[in-house]
Amino acid sequence: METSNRNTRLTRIGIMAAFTALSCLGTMVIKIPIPATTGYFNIGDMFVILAGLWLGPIGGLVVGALGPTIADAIGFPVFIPATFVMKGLEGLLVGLIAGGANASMVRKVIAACVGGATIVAGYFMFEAFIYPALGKSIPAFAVTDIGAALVEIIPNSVQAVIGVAGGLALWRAVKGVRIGNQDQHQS
Amino acid sequence: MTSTGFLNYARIRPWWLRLFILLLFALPMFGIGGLPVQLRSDAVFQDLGVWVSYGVFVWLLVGLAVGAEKLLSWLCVGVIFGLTVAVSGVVLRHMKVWELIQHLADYVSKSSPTVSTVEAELVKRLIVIMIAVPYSLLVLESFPASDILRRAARPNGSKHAELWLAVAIFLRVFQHVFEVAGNLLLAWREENPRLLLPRHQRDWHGLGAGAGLLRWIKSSVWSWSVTLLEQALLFVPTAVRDWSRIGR
Repeated sequence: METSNRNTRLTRIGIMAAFTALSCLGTMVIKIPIPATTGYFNIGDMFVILAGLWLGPIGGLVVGALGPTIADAIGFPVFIPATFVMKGLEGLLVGLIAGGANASMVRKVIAACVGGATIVAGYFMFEAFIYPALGKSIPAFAVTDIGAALVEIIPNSVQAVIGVAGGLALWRAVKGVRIGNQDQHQS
Repeated sequence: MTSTGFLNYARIRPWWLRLFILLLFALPMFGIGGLPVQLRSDAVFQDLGVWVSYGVFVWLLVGLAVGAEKLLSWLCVGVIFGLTVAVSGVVLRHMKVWELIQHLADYVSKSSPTVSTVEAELVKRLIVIMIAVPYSLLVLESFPASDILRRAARPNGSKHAELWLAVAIFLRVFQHVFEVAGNLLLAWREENPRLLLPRHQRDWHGLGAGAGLLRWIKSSVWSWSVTLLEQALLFVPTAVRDWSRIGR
């Protein structure tokens, strides 16, 4: 029994690592630049939302905070703080709301939508208020203002919709797969 | 780590010193060390030249550690990632979406960048990604999971054996996904020799061409994502089965 629990725990860590790398790759492979804020559009949210839905809040938090942040370090380091906080929060909220493996489909959809909305609202907060404030003391952060943040709501919303739809679609593909006694660990 | 014998970062002990040295090389990418994070509109080419010089320095460090062949394959991945930024930016301009966003930005933002600055910025991003991808892969390879496993399997019983085992599995699976992605990119390249355009695009005509391209993009992204997901997850049970005996 103890061996089985240990293997389940290690398998969850392995899957978390795989999703972290996948969300990093999803963020890196397709990057469409947004001129107003020097940010970019990507599809990494699909894997963050999938991690929250399938692995629960801790898995969502780890995957969201690490994967896209590593991708930002490659070429877009100024966005590291915003990505670390907001994508981590996205994965955490999706996992908390989604419930266990037996939760209803409606609950999963609501969880994914909250995750998408978190990204749009969160990046707006960072770009409109936090980065301009930081930019006064650290010039590297002075890349956005409230106008640019307003402009970025459009591409961020498109990114969120693709992330929610893609995350839910991928979750349907893997939802029958249980990782040991999954419900027990997702509480 | 494959080494040419000139430089082998994996041999630097302790591990935190290795991490510190590798991070030192990356500091200029974060604007520490004189590299222009934001291009000056009156000195665009000088600034781009500084980035290219730094790139040559990093490629040299990577090349001396892993050899020319591996450096080139990593550069190939970097170029593909970098091109998605540059090409999608150009496509947006061609579709006039760029101007639309630019006008909107001009209207609502006092500090919106000019189109020429944005174009130069795209070139800079291509260069930065071409530098950052080989560097990141070098860092990843400089911390072999086998070293961490050895720590977990010490006969006198490490206090944190379980933690090291978890770290080793996390790191190895993470590295595995990047190896798989590299192979999938090569497979994609063989399947689509023109890289960003489908092989069968000649079958599409008129209005149907746009719809065909959209369908192709959707199915390509979907099949690429699912294949990557499958290949990534397949490795997990094997790694856990083989390594879970350690430290028990």
